[in-house]
This record gives sequence, structure tokens and C-alpha cells, in this order.
Amino acid sequence: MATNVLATNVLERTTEAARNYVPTNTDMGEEQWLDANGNRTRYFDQGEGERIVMIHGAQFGAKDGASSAKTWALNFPVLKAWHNVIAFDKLGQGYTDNPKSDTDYTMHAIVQHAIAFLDKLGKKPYHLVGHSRGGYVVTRVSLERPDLVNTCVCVSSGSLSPGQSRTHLVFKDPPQPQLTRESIRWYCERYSYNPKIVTEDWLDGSVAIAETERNKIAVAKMNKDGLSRRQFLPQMAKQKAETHRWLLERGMPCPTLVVWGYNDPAATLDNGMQLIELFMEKQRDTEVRIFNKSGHFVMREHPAAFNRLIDTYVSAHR
Amino acid sequence: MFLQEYGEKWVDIDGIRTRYFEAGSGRRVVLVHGGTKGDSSGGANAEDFHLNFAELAKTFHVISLDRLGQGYTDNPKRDEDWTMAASVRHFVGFLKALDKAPYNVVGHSRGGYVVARTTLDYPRLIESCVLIDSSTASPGPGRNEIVFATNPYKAGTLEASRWTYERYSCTTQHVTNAWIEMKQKITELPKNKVAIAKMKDEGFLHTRFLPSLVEEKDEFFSKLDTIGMQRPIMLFWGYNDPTAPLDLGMELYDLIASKQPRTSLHIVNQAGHHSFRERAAEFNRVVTEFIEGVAHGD
Repeated sequence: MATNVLATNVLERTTEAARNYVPTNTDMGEEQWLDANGNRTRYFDQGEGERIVMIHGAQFGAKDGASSAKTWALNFPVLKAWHNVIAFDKLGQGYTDNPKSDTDYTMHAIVQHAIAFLDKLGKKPYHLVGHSRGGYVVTRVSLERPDLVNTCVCVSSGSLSPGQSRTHLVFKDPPQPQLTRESIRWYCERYSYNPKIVTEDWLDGSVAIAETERNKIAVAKMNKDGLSRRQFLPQMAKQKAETHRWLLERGMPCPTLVVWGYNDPAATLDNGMQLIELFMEKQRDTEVRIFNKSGHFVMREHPAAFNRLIDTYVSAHR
Repeated sequence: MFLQEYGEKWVDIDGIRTRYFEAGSGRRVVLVHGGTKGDSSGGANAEDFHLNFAELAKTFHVISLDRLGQGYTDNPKRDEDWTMAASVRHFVGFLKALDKAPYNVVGHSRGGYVVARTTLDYPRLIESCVLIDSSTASPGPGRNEIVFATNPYKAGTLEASRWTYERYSCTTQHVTNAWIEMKQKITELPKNKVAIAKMKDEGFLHTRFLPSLVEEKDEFFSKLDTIGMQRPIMLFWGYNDPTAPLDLGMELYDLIASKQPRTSLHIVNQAGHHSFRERAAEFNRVVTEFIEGVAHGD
């Protein structure tokens, strides 16, 4: 008979038929703080069981919004019932410190900060779940530090995909001024298949972050001071090419699940299909799940189905 | 061995003695094998799901049957029934005879067309539908004729069968001696010799089965486009399927997803045409997750 170790775990789960994957609240519990590479880092850490670390998207100084760990507010409170779920604010985002020097306004520094966070937390190995730019981070962490990772789930990561980004087309002529509630709402709605998923609760969090001094500094550094064009984007392009080479040459060190929204206007499925080619090359245990009627934020457009997928996937890879 | 431990069951569907297996309790899950009666894939049968049956039966009431003219189920009684349409009618008759609707139907390859067509035409019998590696249900052509053009062995022999199933596969561990021998017994049944005589010697494959399939598929896609699937659908595909390539699965996904919001696609790596065998553990997990998700409306 086939190896049914995985299926057995699923069956243990399914005997608890009452598992409820529908989010009923967005409470992620108490904020906690730790020092990662000298950067004070905000995180949430709840529940017991398999360690799942969720890594949100975008990067410091973004003008389309102000992402944080709260991106996972429809997933974290559900999954923490059966797993140890952890979500942190990436370097220079949410309430985590900005990079200490201008030279650290890079993807490299973001990845190193994530690695430092995971080391400091001391609960390895982790199931990493990353969205968008966070999908880039989880993939890169897996490749650089296999010892930290149990499985890797990469969601809608245009940053990691081959091919040209479409964001400049999708987000032409945004409402001004940017980083106001109405501007952030406009971006979130355009990222989504169903604009109704953009809740006030979600926007509240982004707006509050956008108004912090820390965020204003990061926005100025990246845009007015030109770090984005001069340093961040070129460095990221270089590191992305290296990541693609690593995927083809050594492959992911762990089982990998790629998740995509069929209707993602920015990180298109066409780009995603090219990305899966890279994952499939060397890692036998690569799976892909495509959700219909979903834009960029799969985990917010279909929270119950997303939570069920993550729960069963992680449970099968204890 | 295989599904024999569950005991063969028999039911009469419009005069066709039909073999099936069942086990477990809960939501009904019906597994439908692929292949075409009277050709090189004619050994396909209910027991092809032996790597899935026991695991799914721990959560669901699982049923696996031999399709019309395949496995140990009788051949069609009438010459006009050597078609896919008749195989679909037989399957619908089977579901009605069991009287346990709604069913979660799971079909592989040609069996994928059977369950897709049933879901489209009889949504009230169906709770959800899973299609595995099915070029028959897809708009483009399968690549079988190319992939199998150079079989060096005599048709109908064990060696020819093994060669075929290895060719279908990305990893061949699942092509065991016991599995090939189990299929060979079916190939050598007197009833299957009759099927081969009808399909090959009398030419029904080219005068009835394939021409009728073209018409049936036209109807199928037109209905898929206008009415659409009325039930949640999952496509489960092997990334390395040589005969029903992923591109076909993507095209099928496009068609179904345009009308049915709850359409998902799951792709597994290093799996050929029998992805449910090559990646049995993943398949069992994902199908369980899908059907439970349907049941809970998420």
C-alpha cells in the first residue's frame, strides 16, 4: 500500500468534524516584542502545536498601503486553535523598526531580519507561510537556512515570479494624496476580485501604521531620497535571479505548496505558472493550489477554504 | 489484495450486471476509473483506486464501481451502446439504483468525463465533483496516440500492458506486478475478448465510439459554457502527465471557473497520468479536504 502517513494525520483531523475554519473574530492576541538583528520587532504568538509563521507582503516605504502581521487577521485567530501560529511585522513595516542604515533598505536585509527573528524565537523548524513579497521571503529563508524550515507555503508572490510586474498598469493614477484611508482602500479594492472584502477593520490597521513617524521616514527614504530606485529594486532583481538559479540548481529543501488567486490582477497566474516550473524542477514534494474568484489576497478572499488548506497541509507534515 | 477484502458487490443496472465495492460511512464518495472498453486501457477497473479506497473510507462512505463493459461489469447489450454516452447513462443508473444521493463523484481520465457529464446533466444527484487527469473532459486532444505509438509488445499481452502503464507514469513504483496481473486477468476475460472484437475487429471504436464522443463533447462544452457546472469542482492534475498535459487541465479550468465560483485546481509534482496512484497520500489528503470544505460551505 502507499505511504499513508500523511493521510492518517488528515483522518485524525477529520474525526473532529466540528473544526470551524470560518473566522469569527480578528483578534490576534497580545502584541509581543523581540530584538532581531538589533531591530525591535513586533509579533503575535498564540496556540500550541505545529509552528506556523506567517509573513505578510509589501516592503518598507510602500506608497500603496502599510502592511503588517494583521494581514493575517482572518487566518491567525482560526489556526491558533490547533497550531502555534506566529506572525511578525517585517523589517521597517508595521511596528517593527526601520533598517538601521540606508544600506539596509534592501530585500537582503528583510530576509536576514526574518532569519534573525526565527532564530531568536527558537522554535524551529517552522511551517512558513508567506504572501506576495512575504512569499519571496519564505522561499529565500528556506533556501538559505533549510534547518529553520519544515514546509514552505508561497502565496501569490509576484515578487518571486519570472516576468514583468503588472502593478504599474493595474494601479495607474491612484487617488492623491497617497497613504490616506481612501487611497489605501482604492489599492486594496483593485488588488481584490471582490472589493467587498476590504473591511474598515483592515483599513484601520493600515491607516494607523501609515501615520506613524517610522513609516513616514521609510516612505521618505524609499521615495524622496530615491533608495527604492537606486538600491532596493536593482538589488532585489539581482537577488531574484540568484533565487531562480538556486531553485533550478538545488531546489527547495522542504515540501512546498504554491497558492494562487486565479483572478490576481497584479501577480498574474501566468507569472505564477512560470514560478511553479522553477519549484517543480528539483523538489518532488511541490504542490500547487489555485483558487477561483480570488485576487491578490487569497487568504482574505477565501479565508475558510484557505485556513482548511493550511491546516490539512501542515497537519500532514508534522 | 486490492479491494477484495471489502467483498465484491453486484447490482443490476438496466440488465447490466455491475460490480462495485463499498466501505465506510458518512458522505458518499464514488470513485470512477478511466479507460475504454476493448482497447489497450481496457484493464482499468474499480480496484485501480486501491491506494485511496481504505484511506477515504475512514472518513467517507466510499464506493468504487466497474464502468459499463469494463472490469467485471457486463458489456453493453446493444450495439448502439458502445459509446461514452452509454457509459454515462450506466453510471447515472448506478447512482440512482444505490439511492444515496447526493454523491461526491471522483473520476479519472475517461471516468473524469463520466463524472463531469453526470454533474452537468444531473446536478441534483451530485454534491461535488473531482476530475483527475482527464483529457476526455478537456477541450484539447490528449496525446495518447503519440505517447503509445511505439509499443514494442503484442497488443493484449502483459508486457504491452506494463509498457503502457509505465509510459503513462512519471514514477513507476506504482506499476507493480500484482497490479498489472490483476488487470491482465480482466484483459483475458471472454467478455473482454468480445469487447475487443466489437471495438477493433467490427470497428466500433472508429464507427461509433469516437465519432459519438466528438458529438458528446461538443454538447458537453456548449452546456458547460451556457449553464455551467452547478456544483463545486476540483481539478487534480499530475504535473508530468504525458497524455493529458497540464495545459489541457488549465484550459478545462478556464471553462469551468468562468461559471462555477467554487472551482479549484490542485497540481502535484512528479506525477503522470495516474496522479491519484503516484501521489496517493497527497490525493487522499486533498480530496478529503475538498469534500469536507464543500460539506462545510467554505
